[in-house]
Amino acid sequence: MLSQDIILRLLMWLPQIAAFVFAIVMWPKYKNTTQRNFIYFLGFVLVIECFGYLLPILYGVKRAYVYNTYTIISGLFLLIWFKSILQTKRLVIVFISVFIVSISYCLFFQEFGVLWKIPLVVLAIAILICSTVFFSDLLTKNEVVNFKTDQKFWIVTGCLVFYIGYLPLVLLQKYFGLSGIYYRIPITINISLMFGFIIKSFLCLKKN
Amino acid sequence: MSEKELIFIALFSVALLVVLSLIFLFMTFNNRKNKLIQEQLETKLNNQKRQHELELNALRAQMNPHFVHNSLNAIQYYIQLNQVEKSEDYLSKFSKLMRQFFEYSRKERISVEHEISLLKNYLEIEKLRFEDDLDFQLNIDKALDTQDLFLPPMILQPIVENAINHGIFHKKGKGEVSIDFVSINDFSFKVEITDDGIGINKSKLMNAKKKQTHTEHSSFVLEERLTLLRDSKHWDVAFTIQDLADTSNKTGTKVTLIFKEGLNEDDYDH
Repeated sequence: MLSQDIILRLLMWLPQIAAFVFAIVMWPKYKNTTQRNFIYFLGFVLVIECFGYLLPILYGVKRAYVYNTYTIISGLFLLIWFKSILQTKRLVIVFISVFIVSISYCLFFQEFGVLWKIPLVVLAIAILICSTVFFSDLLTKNEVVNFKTDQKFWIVTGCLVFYIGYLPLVLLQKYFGLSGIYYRIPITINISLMFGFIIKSFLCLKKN
Repeated sequence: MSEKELIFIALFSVALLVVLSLIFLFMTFNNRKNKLIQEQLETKLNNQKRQHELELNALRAQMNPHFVHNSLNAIQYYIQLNQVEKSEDYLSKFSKLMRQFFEYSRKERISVEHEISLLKNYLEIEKLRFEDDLDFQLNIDKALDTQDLFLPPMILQPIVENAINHGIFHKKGKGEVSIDFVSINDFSFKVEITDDGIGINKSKLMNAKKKQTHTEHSSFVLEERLTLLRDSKHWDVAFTIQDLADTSNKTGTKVTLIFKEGLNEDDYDH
């Protein structure tokens, strides 16, 4: 079981570390774009992964504390980023408001030591809609000719792939009895895929 | 169904959903990309086709039968007068001009020096026809690098021809065409073609009465050519036409063209 756990963690961490390294290496190429804050976000992801692994072992802190914090910060970061790249800003503002309401609800009515699912589901739906809007916007522009060298395209594809796989898993987790390794494997693959696309988003800057 | 089968179905469905959405996404984007590229190519091809048609029209305008007929008639007149040397001189100028028309019309650009030579030849032959009724001046700015600055072919000659045939031709007495090449900077220069004829406004009125559309057609061809040249991003040519009577007590027409080269020499080598 330990080896399985290590393999799964490595599968998740390696793409995250690689994405952060590429974010640092390619920094000069995107420092003046709307994606400039991804370097901090990817660094934050690594810190959260370290805390999520070490704090429960060292201090007995519940993992849900760390991951709920991650949900709040990463959710707000991604939604604010979508607001900066989409033309329909009002829609994203509505999503940000609903996301904040869902967090407030959980703060008042749920324990912080349990993984909050409502904000996660709200975030997943919001990002899926934002991704669809982004793609339909891009399809109407001439930039679609160079979509393979568009950093935003690959990041949004990563988000879409992650949340399109994540949403049914969270919603149907109880119904299908997904737990333990059966839950962690698809989540790990989803995370690896998402960070793989984020790596691709930095690599495509080379071609630019 | 057992719990394991349910889990398998769930995970398989999720994987399928992810894969299918990715396939759908990339297929949609690739199709759109190909469609856009095809549309852009078609537009470019149509523009090129139109450009070639207009160039052919410009060449036809230069080689217009009236001009050839009148020039040969004038040369014949000198032969009849036994002025062999003069007729030979004009015949050689005429043949050189024809050669220049054909040679330059095939090129994407010609040097200012070549354009000046063509205009000089053309004006000398026109002078043969008009005799003392036509004078011309070619003023070239000393700062202008005539060998290294270029312009699209078949642009200036039709304007000069219009100045003579529609400006000076209808004027009583002597007329003058003046062509000024003025340097602006290393990459751009100005050409002013001024005649002291009847002016474009009067000429348009006369043509309207005669239902003659040649002038309008040739200026339309010229303007469309300039637009296509601008679209090609190789040239930026500003074109203005002014009736001198609108701003002074003189008669005549002044055409100003400002050429800005948008492409470096290497791009023409392929």
